[in-house]
Amino acid sequence: MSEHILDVESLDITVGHRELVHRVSLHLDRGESLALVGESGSGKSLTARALVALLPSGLDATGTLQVDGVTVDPAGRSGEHRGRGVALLLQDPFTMLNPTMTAGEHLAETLLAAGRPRAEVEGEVVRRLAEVGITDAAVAKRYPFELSGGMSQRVALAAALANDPGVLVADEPTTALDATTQREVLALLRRIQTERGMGLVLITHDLRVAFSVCDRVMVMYAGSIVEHTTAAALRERPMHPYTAGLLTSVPSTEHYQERLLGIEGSVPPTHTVLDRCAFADRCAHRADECVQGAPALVEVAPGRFSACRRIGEIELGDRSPGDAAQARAERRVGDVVLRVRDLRKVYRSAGAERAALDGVSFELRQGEALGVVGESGSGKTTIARCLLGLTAATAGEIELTGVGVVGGRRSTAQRRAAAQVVQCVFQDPYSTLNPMHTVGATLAEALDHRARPVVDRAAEVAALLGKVGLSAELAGRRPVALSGGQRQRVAIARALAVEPKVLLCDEPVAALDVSVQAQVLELLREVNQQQGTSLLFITHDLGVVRQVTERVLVLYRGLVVEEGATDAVLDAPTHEYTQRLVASMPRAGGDWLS
Amino acid sequence: MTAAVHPEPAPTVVATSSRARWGALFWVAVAFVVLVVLMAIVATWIAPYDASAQNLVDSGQGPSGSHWLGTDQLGRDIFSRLLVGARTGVVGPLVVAIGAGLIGTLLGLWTGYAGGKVDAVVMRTIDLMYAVPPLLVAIVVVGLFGGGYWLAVGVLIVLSAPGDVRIVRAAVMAQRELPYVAAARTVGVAPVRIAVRHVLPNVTPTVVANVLLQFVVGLIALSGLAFLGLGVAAGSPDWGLMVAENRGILDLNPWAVIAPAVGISLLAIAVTVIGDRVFEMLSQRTAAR
Repeated sequence: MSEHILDVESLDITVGHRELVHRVSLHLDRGESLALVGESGSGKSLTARALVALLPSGLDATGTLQVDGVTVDPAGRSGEHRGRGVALLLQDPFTMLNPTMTAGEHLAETLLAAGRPRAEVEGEVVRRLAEVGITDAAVAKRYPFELSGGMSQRVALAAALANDPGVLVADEPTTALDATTQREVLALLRRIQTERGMGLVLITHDLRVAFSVCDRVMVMYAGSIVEHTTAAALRERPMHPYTAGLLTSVPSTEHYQERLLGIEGSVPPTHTVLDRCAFADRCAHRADECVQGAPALVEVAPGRFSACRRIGEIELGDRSPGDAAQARAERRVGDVVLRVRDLRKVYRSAGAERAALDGVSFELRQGEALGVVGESGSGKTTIARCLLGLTAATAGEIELTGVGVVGGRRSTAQRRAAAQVVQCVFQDPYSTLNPMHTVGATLAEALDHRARPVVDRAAEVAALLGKVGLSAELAGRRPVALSGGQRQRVAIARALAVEPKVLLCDEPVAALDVSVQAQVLELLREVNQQQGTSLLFITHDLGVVRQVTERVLVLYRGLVVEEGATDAVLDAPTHEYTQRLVASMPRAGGDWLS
Repeated sequence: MTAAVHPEPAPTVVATSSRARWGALFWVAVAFVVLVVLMAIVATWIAPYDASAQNLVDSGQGPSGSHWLGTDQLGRDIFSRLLVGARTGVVGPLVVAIGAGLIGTLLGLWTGYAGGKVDAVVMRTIDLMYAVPPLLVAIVVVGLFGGGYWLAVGVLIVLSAPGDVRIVRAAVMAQRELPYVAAARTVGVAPVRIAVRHVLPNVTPTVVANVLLQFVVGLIALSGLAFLGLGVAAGSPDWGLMVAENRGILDLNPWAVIAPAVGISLLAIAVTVIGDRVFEMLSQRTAAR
């Protein structure tokens, strides 16, 4: 059993009497890489934490964990193996480094703890930084706030590797990074793993990332493993309805899909589905046998493990119904409803000036869906805040149909009038709704600000909820009782309540799970195409922009560097930055890392 | 402003595991506070003696069957005085807490939400008030105007309010940056309504906990002023004053000092415990995602 460098047998993680992770077994050989893939609530991050015995307090773990033949306690009660055989790399590069320590000090600290003689440390720090692609020696003297996200993640990686661990557990190491940086860091991770012959456990929500970095993939759902096989086999043909659903949920960056296929519903809490197939409620192939007892992970074909009982009888079908490019329906657009001319926004801090927007101009017509694509620091959110009057532009004009030119500082009357034209859906579903107000109260308040008088409030609230695909019962609930996808639907309903001409969407699906993303995107497309509301869609995700918009602006450092029909821009980008961006988008097929 | 993506919110484990119960300590504290309040209400009816009736024959006695906690130098019954003394122990601090809380909440909400010039003027004034030591000012002002319980209460309200303004303002400023406020502004909700209907409910945990804490500060300050002879009129039954008056007979009847001192301490501790717990429970409700 102990020829594996990492061996986990029936790991259970519980809080009180509730199970969060249910009987997870996995093993990893030297030089092998394994991806744990799943959405929120799948238990993948907790599993990763248990591998390094760093579970959050209040959680308990049982099961056996062997690292290089040595048995350790996954609950971390003794904490003796931390840092020895297994190292952990975390998601957020901005909070995992100590802000009062330089990059070099982080490394030196770990090297000293590993027993390196003090004299060697300085040279070793330089060598270690070079390994993660940092050749500029000055970086060692910089503090975390002086480093970019990608640079911080490299330093954190070097620190994690300082002990020369046999296994590296990387928990969503690139999720907080921009696409172009993500690609570099993933490529680096893969190279180091191969060079060192180290074991790698990569936790990710993105199957495309898993395919390109790892040899094997385990798919987790509601605390259990539902499918396990090699990356190549899984990419070829998924053998669990959930995996198949995940693959089709990802909006294609390469072509327009007429219908986005999400998975209805959301992930259930682990402890509620221990007596059945956890995915049964959301599965199109559900039969009675699926809810009678929990299915085991069994070998359904050579080297292929699936927890679907019916996998032999069902046809998972064409995994990507949109594989062939689909033509967009011809759209008619009306008059200009929003015109932005030479918008500038300069931030001053410590005497230095930084232009977040450096002269942006565009027009949006009635019924049109315009995308604004850019990475962090491109100024895309600043555009949104200026349009909404949440921040005052330094220069430039914003003209709204029926209102005229509105300034940065708006009077109450102007604000009211502007609200009839532009409404917004914000990024974070967890703070976009007032936690103290019921859904009904939130929507009723928005209805009160509509130009058309409200006759029957309760009925209109119910109608709004129906419009965004929610049950009218939810009106009495508070946001805490809703899932992320449901909250974002309520946020859309709130915006639509005012009956605006333009719906501004600022990364509305970035914080949602991929299976839920598709549902919300489909709803926004419907709002745009059926109701004729113009969309101004701000995103970093080229797949999303391909599906939702027909025209796109590419924003880079406060400037529009490319503009045109979405398909044309993404298929044949002309600006160097757009080309780089398109190339760095994860793809399910092909090797996008090299 | 970035595309910071966090598809997996940190497991909300801590919140769920400790949610269910208020805890035994909380209920003990509540029981004690209820007891003191009841004492204050029914004191004159249940007190065995008139709290001010002097009986020089029985002065300075230790506890006995007829005087449970003994008597003071003038032969007044300590137990009766303890019961009646609960009144000034509860009412004054309560008025201080609520008065300062009201001022603090209104000004804090206003300056925190509006920002700009209003904020600058109010906050600089408050900084100025911070620059003088509050208890010293209380002593000087109360002493200058010849003392009196309600004057002391009034001075303490004015001196406690700046702290409340600061705390509420900080909480409001944290809420102001959240998207739900931006969403309300976008919908066209008027600023006053956003402040009152949206922001205020979300800072309630802070406000409530702070009022309770301010009660404690008020209790200690009023007792201290009474001890210095600057609060209630000489001779009135008041816990702080009792400690001062009976210092001289510690050898004859130590209970005349211990009983009111313990009363002050236990009440202060009990309210602090309640305040802490209420804050925890309320913020779980508002912060629950």
